Amino acid sequence: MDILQITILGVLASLLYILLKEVHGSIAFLIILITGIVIFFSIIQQIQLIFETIRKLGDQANIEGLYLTTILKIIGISYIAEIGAHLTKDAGLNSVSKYIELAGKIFILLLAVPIITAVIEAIIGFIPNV
Amino acid sequence: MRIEIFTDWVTQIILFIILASVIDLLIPANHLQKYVRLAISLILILILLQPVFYLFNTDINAAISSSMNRIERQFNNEPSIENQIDFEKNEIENGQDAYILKQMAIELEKIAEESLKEEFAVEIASIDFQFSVMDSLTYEDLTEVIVYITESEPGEGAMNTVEDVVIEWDHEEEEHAEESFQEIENSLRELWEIEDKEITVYWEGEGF
Repeated sequence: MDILQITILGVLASLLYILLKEVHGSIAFLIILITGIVIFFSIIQQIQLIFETIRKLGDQANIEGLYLTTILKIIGISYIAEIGAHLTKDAGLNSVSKYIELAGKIFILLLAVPIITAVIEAIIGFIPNV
Repeated sequence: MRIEIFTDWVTQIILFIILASVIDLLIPANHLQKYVRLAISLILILILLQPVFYLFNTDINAAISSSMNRIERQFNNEPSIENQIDFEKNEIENGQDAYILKQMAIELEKIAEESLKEEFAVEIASIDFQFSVMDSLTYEDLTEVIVYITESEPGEGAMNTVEDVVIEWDHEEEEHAEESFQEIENSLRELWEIEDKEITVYWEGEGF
């Protein structure tokens, strides 16, 4: 999908939302939800292209596949957490959106933990045992 | 060789920094950005430290994947502790069963040793037990006792006579193997007082 189409879709959705907000709150929210999902799925293909490029570059640079997968997973988690958090925030559930963000943070840290432990273990290994 | 490693390392760093900047742009700008940056910078540290790892002969990839596996295992099977306990329990039980069977075999061997030596000049090499229900080691489920025999070695003090007998008997055994097996089975049945179970005798190494 083009950027133009996405923008138009967004603008239309917001207009509909404003119209429906007073009459039917729940349907208005449904519009937000559907718009978000449609935009997300239209973006996914482009994201795939970028991910493939990152992967190819990483392979060329001889960067370990493990690092790259970690990075890509982290990007995915941040996107999904972001989308979920914004949707819940739009629905008026601020606290839930905070929780989703918290979950995203924790999952990202969880992915980073092996790297942290590896670095720490390696550094401890460098220190000679006296 | 050395210069290759060096250039490889430098290209790795440069390309990774470029990649990291692209990724930095990709990620949504919110609170999560800090965490993503942390992870990326840690990976950058790992790449920067690569010559040091090379010098110290540390296999950093193995370390990472092992700790990753550990976390994944913890993460994926939450009832893993239960599974582990079950597994260990089974292991202990199997060990106990094996021990009981071994003790039983030793006892049976002891009982039959003397008379087998005297009557047939053979001795028991090992005893196997077959059960109708797996994992249920009770006398009721016992279906068959498989006895592996070998020629008995000449005893002390009776060297000459026993040696003669063994050679004689060995000759005969070829012809009357079936009969002597039957006899051994019968006498074992009497000795062990196992009437309703199958007893099968094989030569050691022959199998069935």
